[in-house]
Amino acid sequence: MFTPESENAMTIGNGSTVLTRSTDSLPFLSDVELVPVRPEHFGELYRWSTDPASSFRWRFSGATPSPEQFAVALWTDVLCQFVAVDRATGAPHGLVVCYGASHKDGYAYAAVLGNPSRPTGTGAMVALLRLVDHVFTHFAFRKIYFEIPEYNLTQFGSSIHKYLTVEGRLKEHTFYRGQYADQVITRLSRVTWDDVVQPRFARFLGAASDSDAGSAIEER
Amino acid sequence: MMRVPSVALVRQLLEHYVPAERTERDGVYERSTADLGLVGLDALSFVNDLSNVLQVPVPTVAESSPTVSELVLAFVRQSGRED
Repeated sequence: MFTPESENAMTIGNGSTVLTRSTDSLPFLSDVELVPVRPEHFGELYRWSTDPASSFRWRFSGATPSPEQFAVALWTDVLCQFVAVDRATGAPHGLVVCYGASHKDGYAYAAVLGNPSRPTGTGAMVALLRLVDHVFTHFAFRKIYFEIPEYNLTQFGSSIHKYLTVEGRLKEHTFYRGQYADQVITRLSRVTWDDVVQPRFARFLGAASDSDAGSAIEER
Repeated sequence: MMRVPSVALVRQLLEHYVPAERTERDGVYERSTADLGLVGLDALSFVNDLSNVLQVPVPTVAESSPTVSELVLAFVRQSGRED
């Protein structure tokens, strides 16, 4: 059990006190890499998309398309999409997709599908940040929309209010577990990305610097 | 050598993301981040804060559902690798 000796900071000399704990499963965050979707990914993506435990969160919403339909649907209306993999092991974290792009009007939609066998989803969230970075770097969009069923909102924590703006709400839009849930349409603007989100999460985008990124609090 | 942050400091960081009543209970170090409701970008942001306060890069090791103490420990180990 890790128990700091007091409420005050404790200096670790050789680390012996703290490091007695088993570290076999130690946390936390894999080094995530985005790779374009290839045919060899289909099986895994099909499994995630149709997994009864989680498919209600994704576009097929419980349906199980044929593998042929799935392969077509995977690219329908998609501008770019990537599988997020662990750089060291190649293990997949999730799929990130930019779709529904309107170059004329300057917007697109983005979504993330996490690997259901990874409980924390932090790798998928890093992947989503990198997708947004990619999209704003390569395309002249003003904003990116996220369509989020109300029952998925908790997966985003308080970031919904910190970084995204709610632009619309489709009342009782989607059916799940005996009731209709709202579909919340949120927006991340390029200005918010450039001024707030990108600097704060720079170290997860491969552009980290030790001095950056606006800690919420300074050590006392 | 890195200084391990006090419980009070970790609580203070957590309270930017988690309601105070959850972090004021005993044993906050032993609770998983998921159990505290620290998810999504908030989880990344909390790690970012720890990295800034401790002045240690974010550890990149296998993803799991860590407790707060495991998270701090990962930074300690990362710091050790840098020494």
